[in-house]
Amino acid sequence: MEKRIMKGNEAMAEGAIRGGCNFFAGYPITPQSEILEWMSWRQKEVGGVFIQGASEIESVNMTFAARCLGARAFTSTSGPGFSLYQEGIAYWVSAEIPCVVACVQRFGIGDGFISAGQDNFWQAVKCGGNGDYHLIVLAPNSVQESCDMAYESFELAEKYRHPVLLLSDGTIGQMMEPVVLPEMKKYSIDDLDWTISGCKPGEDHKVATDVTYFEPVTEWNHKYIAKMRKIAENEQRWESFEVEDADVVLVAYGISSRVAQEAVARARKDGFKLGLIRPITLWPWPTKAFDAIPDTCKGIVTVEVNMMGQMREEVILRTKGKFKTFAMTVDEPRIHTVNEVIEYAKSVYDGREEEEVF
Amino acid sequence: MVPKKAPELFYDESRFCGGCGHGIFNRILAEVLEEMDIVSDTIICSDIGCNHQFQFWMNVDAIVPPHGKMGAAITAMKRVRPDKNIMTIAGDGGAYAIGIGETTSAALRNENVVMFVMNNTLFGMTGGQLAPTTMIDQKVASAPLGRTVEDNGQNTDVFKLMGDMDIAYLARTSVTSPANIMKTKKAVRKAIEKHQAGKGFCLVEVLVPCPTNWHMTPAKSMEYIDEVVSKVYELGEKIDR
Ligand SMILES: Cc1ncc(C[n+]2csc(CCOP(=O)(O)OP(=O)(O)O)c2C)c(N)n1
Ligand code: SF4
Repeated sequence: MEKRIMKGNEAMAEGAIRGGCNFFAGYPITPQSEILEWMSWRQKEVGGVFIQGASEIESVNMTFAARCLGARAFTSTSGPGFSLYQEGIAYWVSAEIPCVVACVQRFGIGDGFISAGQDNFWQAVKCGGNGDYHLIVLAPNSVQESCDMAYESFELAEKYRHPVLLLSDGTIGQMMEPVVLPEMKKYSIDDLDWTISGCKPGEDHKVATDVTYFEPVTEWNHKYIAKMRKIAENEQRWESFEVEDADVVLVAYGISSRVAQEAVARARKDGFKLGLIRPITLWPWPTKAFDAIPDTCKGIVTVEVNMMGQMREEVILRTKGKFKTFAMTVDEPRIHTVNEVIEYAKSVYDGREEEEVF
Repeated sequence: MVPKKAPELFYDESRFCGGCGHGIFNRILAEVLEEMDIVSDTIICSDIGCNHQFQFWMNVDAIVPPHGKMGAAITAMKRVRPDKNIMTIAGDGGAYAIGIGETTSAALRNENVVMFVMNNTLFGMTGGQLAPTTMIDQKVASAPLGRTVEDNGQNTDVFKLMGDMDIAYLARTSVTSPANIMKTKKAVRKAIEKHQAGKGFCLVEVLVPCPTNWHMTPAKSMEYIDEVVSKVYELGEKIDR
């Protein structure tokens, strides 16, 4: 086992490489560019392809084309770049082309700020493009998970022929931690039978396209919905801390879950019964985790680095509004402190906070 | 004269309108692929537009990215499978309007790929609206009084756009007569041969009729190309390296 100290972004790039990634296209944008830079030399070492596209629109469609032809294709971006990806990603979904994309979130609307944020939740988790879909969304909260999730992402995407999104954030991407690097997986562009490689004599041709052009639409739609149900049921992942007897339950992913976990430990020391659910998959949403919250719970608090509490709506929806639900947000690009989280949770416990949905 | 056998890679009827130029070009390309015996080593990148219907009757592997994004897709396709012949059949809307960035980028990088662009002077699939190739004074659905420089800007001539670029091949042909069809066939073959020799970016623009949106008979459409369209868009080989 190889152990190194790395940035989250580098670990994600290396995890992808070791998971068989042999194609990367991307366009520079902070705080994601280390992934692109790592890939620029690392793909050469492993005999893969690296292309810096002329835009995100080029990059997302290069990723599609490479994956269609068999490569384990990966791309990464942030902020407005992720917005530009959405048309392309919708095509991946409808053509069932299992690309992997990372969004290393920043903060703010439009160009926003280059500093860390968690404000792509709505776009990433609900559905950024047109049509009925969710991506499989994995949210790492450490450098090790950045590596491990990238490592397994291609096989997960291939299992369902559905794209996977690695939803990181600027802090996880930039911070350095020790990481254990997994073994290189073997993968060749001819390993999978659905890929486009030229029509052999006597065979029917293959076309990577909106599948509905070739199959009866309703039949395809039924198959697709069955697949989405199966993912929703089988792929929920989460971590829970001290939820069973909690008076207030925090819900946080990514960098905010690191703060929240520490808040739970300190609050418990002081006798305040705080709990935490950390969704590891944001879709499928870990609905099952919320069954463990006791009826006596005074409120749920999402901890998020955005202004409008994007994840709060998800919690209200998934718990059918059973508990009072609040969002701890920020009005500037910064992570909450542990003390702030504990104070806010206490204020919820005391009934001093108002519920709000925009 | 013995009628020429249809290429074997056609497995179904054409879905194009009667007299549509896309069908004529598909037939030309199919013949070249069969004559060169490269069907199984060819992957076509489709555009989205009437042009994309080649995939419903030609038994050749293909991918379909979003409308206009062929320049990006073929770049990646060639890098992933350099042993394959990688080409696109594109609309003039796809290649020069929504996809102008991707088309130009691929040409500026001199990627080793082939683009066949069907110039029917308008958007066929969506009902005959203005394309970059719509000629001055030409009446189309979204410029019913005719294209003007004031309202619609200058029209796009790919010879002006790419004439000075470091690319391998730039040609324009038409399909209005057996002689012109032969010239198109030669240009298609030449582009693919340059591609196989690794020469770089090749683009062949083909002037094709859209009788439906031109509101003309197929025969009149062919005359219109000879008498009007090919006077605006010069036929011939502009770059041949
Ligand atoms: C993003 C996007 N915008 C618009 C469309 C609608 N659309 C489909 S084909 C097309 C243009 C077709 O014109 P052209 O590229 O010249 O091809 P033709 O139909 O003439 O072969 C448009 C605008 C689309 N499919 N996707
Ligand atoms: S509308 Fe025009 S371009 Fe489209 S199939 Fe008919 S003739 Fe061809």
